[in-house]
Amino acid sequence: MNASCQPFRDLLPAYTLEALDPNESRAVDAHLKACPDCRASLEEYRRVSEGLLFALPPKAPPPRVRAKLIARMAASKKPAASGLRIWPIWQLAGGLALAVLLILNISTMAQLQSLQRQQIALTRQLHTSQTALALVAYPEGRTLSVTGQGIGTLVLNSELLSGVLFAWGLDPLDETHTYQVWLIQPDGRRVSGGLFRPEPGQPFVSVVIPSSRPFSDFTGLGVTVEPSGGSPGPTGPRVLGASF
Amino acid sequence: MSQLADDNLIERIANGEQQALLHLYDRYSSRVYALALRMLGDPMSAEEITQDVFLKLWSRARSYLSSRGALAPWLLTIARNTTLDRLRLERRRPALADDEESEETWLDIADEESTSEEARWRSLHFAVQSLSPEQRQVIELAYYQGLSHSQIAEHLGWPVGTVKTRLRMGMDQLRQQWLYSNGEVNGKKSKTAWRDV
Repeated sequence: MNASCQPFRDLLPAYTLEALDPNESRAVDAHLKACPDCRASLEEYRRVSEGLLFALPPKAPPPRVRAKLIARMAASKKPAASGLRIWPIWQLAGGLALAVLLILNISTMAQLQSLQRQQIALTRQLHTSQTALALVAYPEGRTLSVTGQGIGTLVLNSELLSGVLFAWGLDPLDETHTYQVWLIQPDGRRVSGGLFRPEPGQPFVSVVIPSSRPFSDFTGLGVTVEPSGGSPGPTGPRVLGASF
Repeated sequence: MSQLADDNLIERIANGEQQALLHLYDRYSSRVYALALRMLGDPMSAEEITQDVFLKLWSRARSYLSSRGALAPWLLTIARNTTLDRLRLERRRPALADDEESEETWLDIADEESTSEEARWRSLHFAVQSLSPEQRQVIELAYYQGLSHSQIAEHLGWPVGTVKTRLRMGMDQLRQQWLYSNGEVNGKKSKTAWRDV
């Protein structure tokens, strides 16, 4: 401790008793920030001043004080109203376990839903393939090449009311668009043959094309990109086409 | 009683358990009441302060952090500050010390588990009593009445320099007699002792 500390050192006892005038107290505060020796001395005086809290003989208050305290506690708000409740460790552990189970359950549900979607897609593909096979096997069944952005095959029968389109190489679409099939009448008017979207991860798309009239009533087929939900008539670019 | 037990009770108080608060009341109310009575000199006011202090504990339990130290000093500091607020609000004249306190008073509150702590506080009490009357008076006016150097000087009619010197010398004597003589120095024993409170 150097000589410059002495004036502050003399004030440390009163500082711990909070007996300094404000300007003295501020001066000691500033000195303590820069002097570890004085901080060490301060700590010893603090222990003495803190001991003064206990240096009085204990004296039991009258029993009515306890009774009044109980009554006032009953009338006051619970301590927990001021903030979060402190949870015992076993409740925290139980809560954590429940949270983990919930997360696992949600993850399992998500996986289950994904599997269900895959199953639905596979079922539809199976149905489509079975339909195409049936069309090929039916007398007078035909397969036509479909060309454009991608390539494809159209399986149909002129006298039946459905055909199957297989297409490769079509670009994936965002959720605001869809592919729409058009059956072309001899007068040039287009009749919608349905909507489809490529399945993510699938190399090709297969779709059953329903018709209210035999395919022999039409001269060709086209596929365009339309807004999601389809259009009354072609508005987007044609990506596939075939002539019957 | 161990620090762990006090911390356990505080946690239960924070969760709204009244019985835990009453356990702490039974443990520390004698010290809180004695401090308030010494500072105010009025039993009825000291009773009110005692209730106020434990009600503050009831509402502030969550703000107490065990890392700050033992509960008892924290609780008694609340008691001192609450009483000082009352003194300043009512602009009370400083209370006179009760010179008839006797050694037997220390045995009024039986607490077999804290005999060593009682001995520590009793040694400090008698160290204070062994100070010169002038030194003891300025320390008590500063600590138990919350007066500053200049206020003490005005109250006693002494020069401020005299007040400063007597307060400093009195605290140095306590530091020497109690902190060093009882092995409180170096911090190690003190931390252990505080933890036992």
